[in-house]
Amino acid sequence: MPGPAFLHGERVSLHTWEDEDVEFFQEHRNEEAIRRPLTDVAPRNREQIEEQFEERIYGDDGMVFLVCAGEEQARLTGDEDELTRVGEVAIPWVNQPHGTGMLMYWAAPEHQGEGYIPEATSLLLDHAFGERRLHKVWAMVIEPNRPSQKVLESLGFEQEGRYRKETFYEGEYVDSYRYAILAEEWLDRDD
Amino acid sequence: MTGPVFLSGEHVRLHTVEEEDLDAFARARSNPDLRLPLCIDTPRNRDGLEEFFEETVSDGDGYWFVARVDDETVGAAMLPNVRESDGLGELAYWILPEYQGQGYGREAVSLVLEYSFDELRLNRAQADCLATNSGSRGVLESLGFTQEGRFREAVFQGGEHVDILRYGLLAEEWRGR
Repeated sequence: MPGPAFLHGERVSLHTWEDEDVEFFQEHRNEEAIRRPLTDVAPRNREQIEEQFEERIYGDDGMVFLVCAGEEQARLTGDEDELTRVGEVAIPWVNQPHGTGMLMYWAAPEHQGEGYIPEATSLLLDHAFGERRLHKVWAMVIEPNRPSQKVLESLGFEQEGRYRKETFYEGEYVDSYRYAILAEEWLDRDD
Repeated sequence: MTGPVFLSGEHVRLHTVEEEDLDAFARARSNPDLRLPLCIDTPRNRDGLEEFFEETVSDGDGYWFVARVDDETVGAAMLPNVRESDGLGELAYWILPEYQGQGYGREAVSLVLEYSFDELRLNRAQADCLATNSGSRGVLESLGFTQEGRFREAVFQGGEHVDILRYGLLAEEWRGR
């Protein structure tokens, strides 16, 4: 079952990825609707996914989480039967000492548009800026991925760059935007 | 071969630690004048030192430097433990007996502090020091460290229990000195 919640909010919580979650991870990371906006074109078999789990998930600085929705009690204990796996939010590595980290996230298609990812990202930013002393968190998003840009904008990220025809997507080159938010902007926001 | 210069002061230069520098580390670990102030009470042979070099110095955790003056190794200064998420670095240093009392320790430590606060983005440096080690206390106090605590009888040495003093220095204190 997913580990007990490491961070929890009103509707979602962030959990450590456990072996029992590999199937969910593999299914969705191979799914077109998810991997394409993430610009990930490689098929991943079980072996590769397991290797990836071991390498990346709990390295030195990484913050990599399974997002779950469900009743608060189930989220706190990680009760598999009562939880719904939604997707992932992560800052997989940190560039120290500059204190910068890259944000990424995805949600299973049936859970997109429900506000889970904005809440999960918000929890992750509280942790990154409030506990881990990051200075800046940035994300790259392709121009056609408007929903993801809206998530970032709703959280206060600023678009700070446009990488011209950076990414090959659905048969053509598309622009990628770089978004970022600073620690002081996140910690001082009023809401 | 001596490693390249990484940080330069007026007299002291801090170099990367290379395998060839292990002789100096062997002295620091064995000579009672050095190892007792450093609270090292277990012998370590050449194999053990090589292991220390491979697994501690070269594994990327912490920051290790050899201090040299006029092409002679005089000691070492390091941040063996850094907690990035707290912005905290633990400081340690030693100067070979024949080079003590000439201000080299103070200069080496100040180079490491400048590096800690201006390059590594640390917020706090801390050092532990035997209450009986007046030389080291003098270095820390002259650089603006505050004594923050006394761990009573934390070490057994020379047949008696000795106190350890904890010193701390904040980035803003260093910049405002």
